[in-house]
Amino acid sequence: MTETRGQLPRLRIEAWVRGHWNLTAGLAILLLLVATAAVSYYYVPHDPNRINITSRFQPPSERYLLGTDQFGRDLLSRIMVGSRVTILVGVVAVGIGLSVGLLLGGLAAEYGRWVDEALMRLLDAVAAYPPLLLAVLLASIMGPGPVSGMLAIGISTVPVFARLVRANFLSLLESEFVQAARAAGAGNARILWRHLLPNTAAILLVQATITFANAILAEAALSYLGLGTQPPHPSWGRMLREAQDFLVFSPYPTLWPGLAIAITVLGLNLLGDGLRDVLDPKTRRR
Amino acid sequence: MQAYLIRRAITFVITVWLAASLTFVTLLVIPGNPARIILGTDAGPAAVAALERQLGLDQPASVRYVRWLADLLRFDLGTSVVYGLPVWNLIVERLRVTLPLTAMALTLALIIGVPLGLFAATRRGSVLDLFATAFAQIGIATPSFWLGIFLILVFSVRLRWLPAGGFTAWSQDAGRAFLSLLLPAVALGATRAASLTRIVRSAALEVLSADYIRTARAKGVAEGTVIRRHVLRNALISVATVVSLEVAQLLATSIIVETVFTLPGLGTLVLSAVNNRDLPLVQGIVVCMACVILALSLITDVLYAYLDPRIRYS
Repeated sequence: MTETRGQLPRLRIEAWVRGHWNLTAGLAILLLLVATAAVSYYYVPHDPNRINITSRFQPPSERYLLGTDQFGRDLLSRIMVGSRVTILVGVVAVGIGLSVGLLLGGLAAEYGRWVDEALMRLLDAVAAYPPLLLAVLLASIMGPGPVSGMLAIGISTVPVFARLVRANFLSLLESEFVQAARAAGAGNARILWRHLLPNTAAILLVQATITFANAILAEAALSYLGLGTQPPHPSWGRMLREAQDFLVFSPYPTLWPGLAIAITVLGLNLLGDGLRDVLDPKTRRR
Repeated sequence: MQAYLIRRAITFVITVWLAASLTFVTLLVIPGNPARIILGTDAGPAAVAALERQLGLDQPASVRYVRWLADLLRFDLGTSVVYGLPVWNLIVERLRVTLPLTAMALTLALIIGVPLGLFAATRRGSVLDLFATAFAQIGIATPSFWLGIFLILVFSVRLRWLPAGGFTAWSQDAGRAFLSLLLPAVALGATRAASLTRIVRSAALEVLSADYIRTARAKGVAEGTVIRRHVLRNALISVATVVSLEVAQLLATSIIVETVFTLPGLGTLVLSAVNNRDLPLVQGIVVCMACVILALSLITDVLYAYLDPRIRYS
């Protein structure tokens, strides 16, 4: 990497961006998503739920920037409002996964032997249920809806986080500086806060972005199947389901939601890759 | 090897037991009476009581649990409330669609993913590598049901080459049955192909930087032989570990793809069961799928141990 110290700040930023394409692109897309959702609370071009049969299947125009769907509803407004659900699901899924995963992984690493074995088997059992399957199970009992969907996705992310935390804690607990801290009389809490958590944070962050991306895909799939967000609330997956029957009339109601999902997931994956490149000393390319 | 196999088999049994129990426990934990859930809110108390007796709900939980486990061991997954048929029979019937579909998708994924990943790794930095990486990233991010919808748009609506959905029985017209599985298999397999490309590429890259590759080339071994005998074999070990995950993903995604193309497979069955509140059917299919996924994981671990001697002695 070319030496940039001493050069103009603008050149340094350019050099950094060029060397970290993944991270930059991912961040940009994530910001776009958050901005879209935020803006949607203050302004949307049209009422996303307003039905207007005379304007069905309009192609993109000045009035309807992305066109209209089979009920004449503005696609751009629906996409904007749909982005709220996207973010919510991602945050909930990562939230559940991180908190429960941290707890279980930490317990497994700390107490070892039987606790570890039991927890790992339990996590394997949970991991045997893909989010879709869990959602199906929960929906059959709780009724289909956003709650059962988000719960299912959240639970299915726990094993990944738990295993990551456990593996990391185990190797950290063997390391010299932790053993030194113990020898100096540090208790469990102190070791956890000052040594284990900070050193695991980077890996957890990378995993969080990947999990976020997977959660979005899972939510889209669930909404498509009718197991997630219920009509008339716009959700990108739901929009795809509704639009499929009218493919012959217009491709736009199918195009934009799918594109939105793909771009968002792509962005988050790139972000995860970019973060991994930056944070993991082993993969740093110099 | 023996010790490892025995240990792994025990783990498998325990995990299957836990996974199956999870389904049972969800039913217990969720508030509400299952019989009432099935019959709906306007059902009379007599009907609810009758269904309770039929489902064995009047017994204490521990008794129900033991009976349920015993039934599972005999492959008795209960009886569907809606169809009145044994769940197992319904599953087997639907497998006639889901199994070929999954097999076709997996084959497609392997045929595209492995060579592409290998070529990308051996020609790192080239146009092909760029294309492969882009394909991988975009493919992973694209929802398979969206791809399916677009395939329908292009090949069924515009070109009219292939059916947009539905399925003719194998016994009726095998050719048409195959055609109706073609688009779904592409939609299903493309995402996995992208995922495999990524995995194979990074596994191959890791192998290519190893010392023994450098030695082989220094010895004068032809590049083709280097790739075949060393790179491919060792990279495939890493691939073998993720194959079970990929197939599990395939199974889960097949539920959606079957819905897109209205195929009468296991996926559409379980979804209609959810909508009909057919709890025994949902339970049976879910447990079945979870066990299949665990079995795949077992096969992969055994395969991995067989291919990589280092694992057996850990």
